[in-house]
Amino acid sequence: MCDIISLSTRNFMNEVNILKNKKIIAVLAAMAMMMTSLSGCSGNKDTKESPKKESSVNEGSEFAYVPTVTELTATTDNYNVVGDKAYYIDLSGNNSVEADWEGEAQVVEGTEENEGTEVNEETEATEGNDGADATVEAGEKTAEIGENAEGEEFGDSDDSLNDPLRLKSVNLKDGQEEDVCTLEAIPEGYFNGHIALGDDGSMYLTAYLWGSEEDGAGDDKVFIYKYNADGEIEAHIEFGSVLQSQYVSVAGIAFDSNQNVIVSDSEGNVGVVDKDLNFVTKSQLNADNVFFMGVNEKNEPFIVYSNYDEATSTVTSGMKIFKNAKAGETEDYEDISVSSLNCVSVLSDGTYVLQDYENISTYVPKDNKMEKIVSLLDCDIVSDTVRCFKAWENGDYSIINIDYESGNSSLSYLTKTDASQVVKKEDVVIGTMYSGSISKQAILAFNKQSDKYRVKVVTYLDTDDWSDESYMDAISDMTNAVLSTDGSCPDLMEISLLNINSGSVSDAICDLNEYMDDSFKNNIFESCLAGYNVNGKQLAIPKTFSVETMAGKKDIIGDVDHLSFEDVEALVDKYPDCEIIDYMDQATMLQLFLYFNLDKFIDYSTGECNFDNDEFKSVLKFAARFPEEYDYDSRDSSASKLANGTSLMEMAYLMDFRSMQEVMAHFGTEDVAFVGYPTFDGSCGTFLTTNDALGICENSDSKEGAWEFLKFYLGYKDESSSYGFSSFKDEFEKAAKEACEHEYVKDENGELVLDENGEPIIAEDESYGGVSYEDGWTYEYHAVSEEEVELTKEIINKARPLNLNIIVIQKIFGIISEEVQPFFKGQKSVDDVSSVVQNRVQLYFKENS
Amino acid sequence: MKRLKLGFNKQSKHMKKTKLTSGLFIAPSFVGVSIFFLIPFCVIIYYAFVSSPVNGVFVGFDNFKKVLGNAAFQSAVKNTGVFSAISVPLAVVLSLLLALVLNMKLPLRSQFRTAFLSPMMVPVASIVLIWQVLFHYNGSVNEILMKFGFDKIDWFKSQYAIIVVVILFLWKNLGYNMILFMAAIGSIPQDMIEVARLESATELQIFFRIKLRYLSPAIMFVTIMSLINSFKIFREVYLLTTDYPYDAIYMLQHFMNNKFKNLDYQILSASAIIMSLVMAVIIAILLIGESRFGKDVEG
Repeated sequence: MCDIISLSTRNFMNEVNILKNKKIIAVLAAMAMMMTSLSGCSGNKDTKESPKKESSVNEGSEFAYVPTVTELTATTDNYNVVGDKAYYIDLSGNNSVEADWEGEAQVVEGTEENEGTEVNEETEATEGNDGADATVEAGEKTAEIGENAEGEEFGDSDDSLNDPLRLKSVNLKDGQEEDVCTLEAIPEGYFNGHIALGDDGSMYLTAYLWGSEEDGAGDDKVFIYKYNADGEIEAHIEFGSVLQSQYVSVAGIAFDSNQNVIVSDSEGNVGVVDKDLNFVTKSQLNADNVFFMGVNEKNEPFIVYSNYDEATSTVTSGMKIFKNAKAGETEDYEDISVSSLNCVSVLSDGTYVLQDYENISTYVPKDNKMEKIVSLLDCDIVSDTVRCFKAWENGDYSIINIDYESGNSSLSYLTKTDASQVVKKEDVVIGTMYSGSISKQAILAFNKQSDKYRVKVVTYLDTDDWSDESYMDAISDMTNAVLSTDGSCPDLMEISLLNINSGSVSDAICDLNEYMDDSFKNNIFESCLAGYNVNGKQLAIPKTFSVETMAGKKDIIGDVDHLSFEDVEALVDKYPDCEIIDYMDQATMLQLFLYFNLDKFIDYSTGECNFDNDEFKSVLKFAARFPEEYDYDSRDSSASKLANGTSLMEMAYLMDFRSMQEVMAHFGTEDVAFVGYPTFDGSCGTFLTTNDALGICENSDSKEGAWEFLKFYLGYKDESSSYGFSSFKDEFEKAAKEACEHEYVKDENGELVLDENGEPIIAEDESYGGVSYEDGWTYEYHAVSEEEVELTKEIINKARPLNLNIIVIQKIFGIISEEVQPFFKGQKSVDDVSSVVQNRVQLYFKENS
Repeated sequence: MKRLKLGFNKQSKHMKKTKLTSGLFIAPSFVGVSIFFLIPFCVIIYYAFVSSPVNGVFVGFDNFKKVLGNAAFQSAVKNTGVFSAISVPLAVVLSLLLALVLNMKLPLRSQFRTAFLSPMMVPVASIVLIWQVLFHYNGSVNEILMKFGFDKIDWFKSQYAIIVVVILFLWKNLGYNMILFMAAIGSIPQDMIEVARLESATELQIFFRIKLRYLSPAIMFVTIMSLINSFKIFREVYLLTTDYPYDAIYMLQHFMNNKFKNLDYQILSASAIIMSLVMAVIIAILLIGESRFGKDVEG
């Protein structure tokens, strides 16, 4: 018995042991399964970080780049970097004397009175009369203004044709400038900015010569000139014929290791000549647009290019390294994800350092890896002004940039510094569609003057993809960013593209009424604030506004201040051979009548729609009278058509006090009525649209800093990027006064010269710029008159704020455009179409009420 | 006694260890279900009771009132109800009939089966393309109608749109339901039918008194699946007509999809909860009905 019991116990124990082992195996298997399933949740560190996306708001950076700025005397924007120096051709100070025939320059001031008179051969050319047109005295040979006695045309005197060129250099570390040598004048063509320096002291320059008007642009020529070390021309070649491309625009010139000269044009054509400029070979690369050409650490020329795919509206960039230019062998790297590239510098380890529109990044071709190093704005540099760039082996950078207003250049040497040694300011992050949306000059100015805050920019648009989907994706990303609570929300956001009528979005943006005091608020035009006021909450303050209206001659449309739908119909009936406006087709007419009159068909307060009424049907029937697509064969510009009466009216966009001058010039008279877009109820159809609207996000960690920047930005004047009238009344009045100011004659000391009545004399050559079109129509602006200012103010006072949300408008017009097509094609009746439009748009408003 | 006690303690420990082991095996699936279903569902419930995801102010049942009072939601509920009420019974009845017919010894039976199953294999985009070609205002169906002297019908932009969607639903789902029914028919015990025949039962009596009883679980399953699929018709309708179609085919999921696009998470969450509660009630009723009707079925 005991044996049996012990046997059964032993068996039981054996089974328990077996069970235990099985359990251990089972537990291990379960753990393995769990770890396998959870491993899918880990971050993927191997994924290449897209260089197009901005880094996250709170990214900590190990290094900072501290700029040391040296002012330069150079005024060029074309440099060639060799070693530690940047070489350029200095054209300043050249006498611009025209001398296109032998002997002394025969230049006499030409006027309409002496046109046709004979040239006075004894007249000497001086600085005072350079560039003036020659005339011929009556009685003998005659000539048009601008021609000499033989009827030869004068050349352009902006860039010297016949003056020697001064080659200079800038030390990219300390900014020391020095003369290198003087080069013989280019005999044919104008220096167009590209230099290559040979090891033997020779220099190669490119020059460009525009074809004559009769010949057209196809006769433009590009030359390469070879200079010896003494600055004398040894050889030259007409490169356009080498490349056999119609529009030759040189992208770069470089040597390969065999001392062949490689020249690429901006369309991907590459030509190779030997060092004596004898043609070797040419090839066509698959490149729509070559950004940059340089030489890498192995003395191999390379280009960075982009291709545009029309079907998908995307841009892809790539790099080609010329392994053997003569044989046309290249090493290709496609899709390197860089857009708007400006300059490239190559380090000795083969790393390419790219300077583009926003950042400095590194690219290693063999790994196809791109890494953002630093944003240019963080280094107090505005990227659009960069003209020369060099990356040093120790991680420092040199940048030459130019101030386009003053024409002055400066060298910024960026020293790589441990971030802990740099005074840290609080970051204020602005979210925008793309980096050009907001003035970089304003950001730079704020960063320099603020001890506490530093502004950074985050962008959401993929600038390589210009499709509608990409644009809408960017708007979604901006909206999600505003709503996010994970720290990726910016402090300020560009509000104009967001659906501020959505409760979620308006809740995510601060009420600026809490920040503005009464005097600040009262100084802003109410109509500007109205567009961003949702249920009493002020979500944004626009910096500027513009006015959209329509204009026509008073003797055609009458001396009226509004236009109705019936008036437009009557005009079309009265002038059947004329166009109401340029580019007139079905879609344009539909937009003309509906875009600014949607409140006629939609009651926004109740969501009630009326697209099945007679007015909408009338609009459809009227629009159906016009062609489906506009015939763009006409060579006349809109301005010419208005001037000759082919077009009756114009859509006018007023954004400063000079805008209406151009409008009046289009009609060739000042007797112009600004009537606004056609309306159905007889009201004025002039509208006010706002620009540059920033709002502070509720989830911001730095609301105070955001408000400080916003105040600064609203008051900052940036001529290069801001447009529109100021939303602030005092600035608006100041601009009105400045617009009326003339340029006066001043003496050599800069003092005003007064006439006999003690009044300053208006300079005869005062110039406010102008506008011209391809068909030759031109206009020069003049100082604004008081009457023009008053008329502009009158139009602004009549303007209604355009409170339209782009997303809502897009939705409504999308439905209307889709449904009206069968009616325009004669397949459906207007009643059927209008009822479907009514049904669908009403559904939209029912859903969103 | 001591040995028995020892054995009992060993057994309860053993059970605990077994439970622990089982739990570990279930854990990965449970974690996945939690992350992808339970936690998001809790988040949805939270969103349905607050004013915005940013402020998080509790607003009680305000969001639900807004949803129930929204005219578009009411229209969507009506349309979805009408569509389901028409298409689900039709799908069940027609697929059952097809299964019964194809269960008979007919020539080319397997080819017919394949033909009915093939719509399941066709990608949605292709289905949409086919339907657009057929039912477009200038499409094939209207061409045929005009040949017979009828006027064109705007199939997608009129009250006839619901017919098109029902036909699309049936065309897509009949095959799958038919297969389910065929499998269920195949499992009906033949001896019961033989006995009934011997007892002079008519085919109709056999069908209603025996086959239908045995098929009741399958009918229940097919009904539930068809009901769920009827909500998924949004996908085809959206591809045919985008996010704001003619109101006759504006479904519940249009409403929710558009709210998602507008980032109106509160309304979206409230409507999703309402919809899931309604679905739960309907399915509960169906299950109760099935258990009462089919409880006497063998097995």
